[in-house]
Amino acid sequence: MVEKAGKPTVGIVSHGFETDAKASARVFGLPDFRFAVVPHVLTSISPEQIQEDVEGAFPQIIEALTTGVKEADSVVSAAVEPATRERFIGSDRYEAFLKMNDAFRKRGWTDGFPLIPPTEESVQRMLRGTTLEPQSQVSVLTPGDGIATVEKLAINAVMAGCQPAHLPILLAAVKAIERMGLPARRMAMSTGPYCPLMLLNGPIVTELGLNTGQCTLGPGAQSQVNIVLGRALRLIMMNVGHAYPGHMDMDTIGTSRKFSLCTGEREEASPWEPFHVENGYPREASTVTVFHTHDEISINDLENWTPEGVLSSIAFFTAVPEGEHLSAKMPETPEERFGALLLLSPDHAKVCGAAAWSKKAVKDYLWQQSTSSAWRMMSKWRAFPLIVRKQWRWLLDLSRAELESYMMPVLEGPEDYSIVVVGGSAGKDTMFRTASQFRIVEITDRAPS
Amino acid sequence: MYKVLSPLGEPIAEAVGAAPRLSDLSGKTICEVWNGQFRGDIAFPMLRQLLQERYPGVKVIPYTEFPKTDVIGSTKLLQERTDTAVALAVQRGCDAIITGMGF
Repeated sequence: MVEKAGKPTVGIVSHGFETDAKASARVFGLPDFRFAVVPHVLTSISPEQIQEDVEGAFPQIIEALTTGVKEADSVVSAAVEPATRERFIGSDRYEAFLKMNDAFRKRGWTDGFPLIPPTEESVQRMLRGTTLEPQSQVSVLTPGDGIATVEKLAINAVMAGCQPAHLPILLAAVKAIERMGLPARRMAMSTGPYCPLMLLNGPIVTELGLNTGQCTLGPGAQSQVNIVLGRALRLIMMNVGHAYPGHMDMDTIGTSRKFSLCTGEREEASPWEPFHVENGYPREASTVTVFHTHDEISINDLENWTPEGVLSSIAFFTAVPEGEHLSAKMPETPEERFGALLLLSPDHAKVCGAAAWSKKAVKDYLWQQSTSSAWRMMSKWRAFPLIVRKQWRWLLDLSRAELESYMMPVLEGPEDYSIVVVGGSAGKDTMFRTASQFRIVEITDRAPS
Repeated sequence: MYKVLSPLGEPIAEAVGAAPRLSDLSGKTICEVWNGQFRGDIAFPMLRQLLQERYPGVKVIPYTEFPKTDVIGSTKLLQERTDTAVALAVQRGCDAIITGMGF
């Protein structure tokens, strides 16, 4: 942006992030952006190593500020190509199918599994799932700021194996991602394994046959609708949002959650009102909620039969002392704070409901019990005291013994917990840490069936 | 034979060219804009020292005098921070910008 204001600018980019820098520059409309490359990511290395890297990059910095823009620096990745129709011909349809998949794979347009060919006929059929026009713009998807038209979403939905009735869910999901704002950009392109989880509520869950019970987030025929919906959203993030691994999705290790992550609430097994009703929607509305998941923790307690016992176990399992809310890097507004999504088993929900615990009471208890020592919470920030929030700087003055004896909740407040009842029978829950507040959107524009 | 449609979303950004470069950094004002990532708190002071050692009369305005342009917070907030950084760069007479870290 400063370069656009006429000021020559050089960015300092870590080795491995060059394609990301070029792609980001293109997104921001500056394909000739100049940068210098340091050989390491400047994290987890000593100040002496940083000094060496900075000195090594210094000539590049000077060159970038004082010499003309070279043609070679204008390279834009092949990830962006005009929307076209193309033919794949083989000796039979199977060979044509393989050729299409091979070509798409070489361009990075796949999640790695075979893709259903998005033929004109199959896309037309998919478009019959919505009342919207094919060229209607649904949103602009980060990080590549690709225009998400109904047609583009339909093409990716076909590739994922979706049915026409699934398309309106995806339209709502991309709106939810857009409404997430800047955290959606982090979700798409971070070095961490962030990814969206889609939660469906309302009549659409049973109408479309989502699996809300046993192995709802796993493989198998019973989860086919969940799987193709989650897969379609990932393909949309890649092909419409341009979040390609190693290109703008800079996830260092990755996660199998990125292939597909979609479930529906098992509303009939919950002692509480459904998640969408809790958030202000009528029970008869169908909604999609997108959670910005960070990681996944499995919880196991088959022994306790009281709310205190069950919830204490959950709290102990999930007390991850990352301490993000102690850092000034993190946003302070509630809708952008780190939190937790608890997928609570029907058995554990029943324990709480039978004792007349409200969902709010459950959240309060989890927040109070899910604690860690300040020593652990400050683990990262001791090496980076500048970034500790002002209201927590007093922790920097405490001794190790004092920090170890001071227990604090791992999340900022009880409102940072979301609770949804899903899964099969047994006391097994899953918690996802989340890196932003969820966004919920009503599913509309469905074509009459 | 399959005739298939491209799944790619068209990018919205319109491209502009890079700003003219400087002939020499001596006597110029260089501004640091940090995105809050990857230990810029350590790297920028090192760069500052190198610039001052090698370019007579160079003035460096440190990153602490600009808002951090990190990808944290709302889109509106980032836009505000970026707009502020641009306005400050103009107001403070910056001839060039060094930005990072990462990306």
